Amino acid sequence: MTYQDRITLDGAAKAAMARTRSRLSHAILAFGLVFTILFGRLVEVSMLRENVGPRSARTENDVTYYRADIVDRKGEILATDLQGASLYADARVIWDPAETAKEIKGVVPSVDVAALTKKLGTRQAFVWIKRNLSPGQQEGVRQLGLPGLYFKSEPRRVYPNGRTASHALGYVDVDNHGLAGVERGIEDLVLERRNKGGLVELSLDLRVQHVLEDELSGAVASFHARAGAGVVLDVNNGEILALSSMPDFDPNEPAASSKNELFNRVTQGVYEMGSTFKIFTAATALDASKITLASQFDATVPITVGQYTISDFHPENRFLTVPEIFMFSSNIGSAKMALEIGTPTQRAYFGKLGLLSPLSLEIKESGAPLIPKRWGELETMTTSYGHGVAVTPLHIAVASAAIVNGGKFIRPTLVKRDPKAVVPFTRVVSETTSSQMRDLMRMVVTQGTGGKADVPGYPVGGKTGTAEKVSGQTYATKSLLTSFVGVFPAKAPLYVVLIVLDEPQPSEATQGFATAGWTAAPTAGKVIARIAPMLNVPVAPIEPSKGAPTTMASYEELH
Amino acid sequence: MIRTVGAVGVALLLLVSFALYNGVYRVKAQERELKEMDMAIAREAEAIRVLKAEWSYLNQPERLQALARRHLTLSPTGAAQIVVMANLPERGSAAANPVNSVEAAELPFRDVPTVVPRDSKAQLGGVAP
Repeated sequence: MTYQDRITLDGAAKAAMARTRSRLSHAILAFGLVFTILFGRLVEVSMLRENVGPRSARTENDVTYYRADIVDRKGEILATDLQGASLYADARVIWDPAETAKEIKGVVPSVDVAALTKKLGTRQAFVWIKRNLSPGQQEGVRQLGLPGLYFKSEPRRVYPNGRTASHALGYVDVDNHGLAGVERGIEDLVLERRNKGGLVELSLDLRVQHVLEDELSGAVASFHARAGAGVVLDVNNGEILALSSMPDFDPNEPAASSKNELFNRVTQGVYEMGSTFKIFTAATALDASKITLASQFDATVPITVGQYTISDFHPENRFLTVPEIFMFSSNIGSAKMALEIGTPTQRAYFGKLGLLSPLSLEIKESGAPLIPKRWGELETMTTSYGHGVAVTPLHIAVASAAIVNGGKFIRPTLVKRDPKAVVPFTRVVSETTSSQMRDLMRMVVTQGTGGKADVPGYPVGGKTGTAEKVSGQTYATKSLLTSFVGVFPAKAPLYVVLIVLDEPQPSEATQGFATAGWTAAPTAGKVIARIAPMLNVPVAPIEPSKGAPTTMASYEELH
Repeated sequence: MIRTVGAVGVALLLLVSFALYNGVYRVKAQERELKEMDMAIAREAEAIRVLKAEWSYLNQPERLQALARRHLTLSPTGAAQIVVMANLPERGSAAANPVNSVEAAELPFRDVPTVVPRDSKAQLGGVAP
């Protein structure tokens, strides 16, 4: 029985009823359609869609690298940022601070249990436990399954080459702020280039750097020296290809390094460099036309000024020509040369060579030269052979480069230069003087004190320096600072190699000598022999016999 | 008439709302996909950085030097191994035809290597053919 049977309507009422029924059926149809769509969507979402997995809150998509990668001139990575996990705790959730601290200690040995227990007992919502865990440690802490321990993803500075170039690179603190080296010196650039894979290209060459470190650390070990310093510098554009100070440190673990290791001897240490200064004295004298190569100086007797006596290490006790003074490293000869030059001229030239002011470099660990307070005649004589004035080894390398490269002082740099860019320079000495100095420096190696620095196929020019270190008020004759500044190829130098050894000890292998010719010079020679082929330095045609070096002729002409 | 208009109106409404919801869902799905891709790219980029750092770590000159000393019979290149144009013999001269000499015949590859064995007595071990 339906309602139609019971109720019968006519006319207008019937029509109204039919309309209502029709509207109802439209509405039902419409709702039915909507619900069908919803149902279909439900089925699609719940059953047909691929499993996308749970979507947890991750921080990976907003990874920010705090610092740009630092690479060497060939693009080898020297410093990069990797995501590291840092462990922190919500101390309010920790149930047993002592037990938690003990368990963490088992995974992360460097934590201090007592201090950590105290920190975890403070009921603070955020407590750092350890920054930058290794992946293994992170997994270990996770395995502990302790409540209240969380990880925060943070960029961590990594130096994949370890100790290599540590003094040039420097290091950063846990918050990724540069504390030393280029990390501090050019931090603005490192931060500015951090996005979109930006790089900071250094002038260093990782291979050259390695060779320098390898040979320098070998020399420090074999001569039982206290320390060593070395630089390889491009004479034509001031780029530093390698910079090494021994002992060195691991920039990944700067906190584990001593002050002695962190000390940058190349740019921070100021030393009385000794006879390498004779390069600048001879160049000044020649350039200021005070002497010619044929000038002779009386080196028969030591010079006595007041209580000081200037004598020679290898006394010749005769009149010496300029090349002889240079080759045999005569202090008397240099002092007399300096007197010819005069104090104001000497000072002006040393100033132009950058020897009297701190060098501007991309690292802030920079030593200011110690120059005589009163620069009189005596000081003029002593500074002529590198005593009474203290500079950094880098000063010597840069000034020597200026002498041999045609007389142009070029600011040193640790950042790669654009090969096409014009390198700004200031003229220090003339091309002629530069050429004469190259010949003089070659003679030091072929006939003088620097013989052990020569390399077959790559003629080396240079100058040895053996300085007695100041101990208290006097010079200690047994504590030497030996150095060798080498340039190669001698005729048209491309690179300067400077080696400095602090207190090398004589041994049987050096026939009882600890002077530069026996310690620093052979080390420089070994470095040059290894790096010259790497740097594509043209090989000189093999000389017919060892006794007839190409510069011999010009030397003979002088006699 | 009104009924037709109503029916068309309802149909349009349905169509528009369907299109709207469909559009919104598709956009959301694409946004999600984009986000996932971004995350995947970030993960890959991070992985690449890690691998690059590891590559650099494994290529430490010090490590390579130690490995080369242990496993290779090679030594650093010296000036003697590099020939300058000026030192090359005249074309056609006896020196330019080393193949004719007995010494060369015994060592067929003497002109080949740019690197020479560090130690002539060194064993090549399993490396030798």
